[in-house]
Amino acid sequence: MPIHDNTVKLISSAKWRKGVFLALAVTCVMAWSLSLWAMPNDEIPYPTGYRQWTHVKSTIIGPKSSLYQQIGGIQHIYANEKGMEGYRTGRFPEGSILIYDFLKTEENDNNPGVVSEGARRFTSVMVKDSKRYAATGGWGFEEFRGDSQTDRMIGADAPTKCYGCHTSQKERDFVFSSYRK
Amino acid sequence: MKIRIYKNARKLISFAGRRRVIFLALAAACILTWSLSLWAKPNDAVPYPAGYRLWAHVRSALIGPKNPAFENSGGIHHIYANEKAMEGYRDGRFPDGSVLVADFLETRESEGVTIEGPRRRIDVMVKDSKRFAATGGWGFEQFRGDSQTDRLVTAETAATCFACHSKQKERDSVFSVFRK
Repeated sequence: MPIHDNTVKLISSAKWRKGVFLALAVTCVMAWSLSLWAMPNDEIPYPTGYRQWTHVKSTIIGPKSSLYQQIGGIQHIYANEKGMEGYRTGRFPEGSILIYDFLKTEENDNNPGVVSEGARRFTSVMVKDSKRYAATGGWGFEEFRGDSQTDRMIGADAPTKCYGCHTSQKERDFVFSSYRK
Repeated sequence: MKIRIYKNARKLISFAGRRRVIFLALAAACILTWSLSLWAKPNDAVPYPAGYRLWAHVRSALIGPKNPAFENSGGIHHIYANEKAMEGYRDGRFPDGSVLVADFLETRESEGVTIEGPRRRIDVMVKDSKRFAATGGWGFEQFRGDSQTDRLVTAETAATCFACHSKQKERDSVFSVFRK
């Protein structure tokens, strides 16, 4: 009799554990889905791997420029494959991503007259999604400070901080740069 | 009469035979000259790096008027690497088939902003440890402007390229580093 009792208890305890485990699992999955749903869906993801994308062109803003204090240094533009298609055809397809990488510059006394790349100021990103960013020409705009992938400098200010100027390039799908061969 | 025809016929045959021999000799001579020309053109060892503008961008620098290299290389230059060469930047050993390109462009400056101008030349390094065993496994070449055929490096200047690059022996003769 006692043996039988124990057996029943064991079974019910296993069932109990199973129930708790399932409940926890369901809670986890729900919490995770809610967290996805609650994330502002217009947030531009950090463009992982862009340094391996195609280099479009470069410019240098030197000390004589009025912009030097703010953004002086060397700038490189990169494009993913869809972005490259946009440069070719003039229409940037959905999923096009353009990067404007702002670096400081350095000069070394041992090598006079040579300007080399220094620390990253920030990375500007444009992402094409005509539905999500319909209000700003189909482009989402963001900037990431320094080497950070989370420190966002634009957020909800894209219409004034970015689009206001890019709108002048409407006939070029709001893109200023051209691919330098 | 019969004999004459026979004689003519023999002549005709021998004439055709001779033409065949001459043709074959000429063909053989052509093939030989062609192979010799291939063998004698050491420059062709480094092909023009078609499509390099789509490769990964390694880093850039600006050479200004104060630098002694300004006359030959002044302006902005970008370094590009194919996938195998990117492997080399990661682990320090460049596998065979690695190609590095240094793209030299002139610059134009206006109100403190410098933009890219026409291409001066491209410098190319190709890794083939057997073919270029004498120069650290690297073949060196330069192409003038936008040309894919106007080559600037001779056997002597390739030795000069390597003389300087060999200072970087512990880095597989490469100066540049991938800038993250």
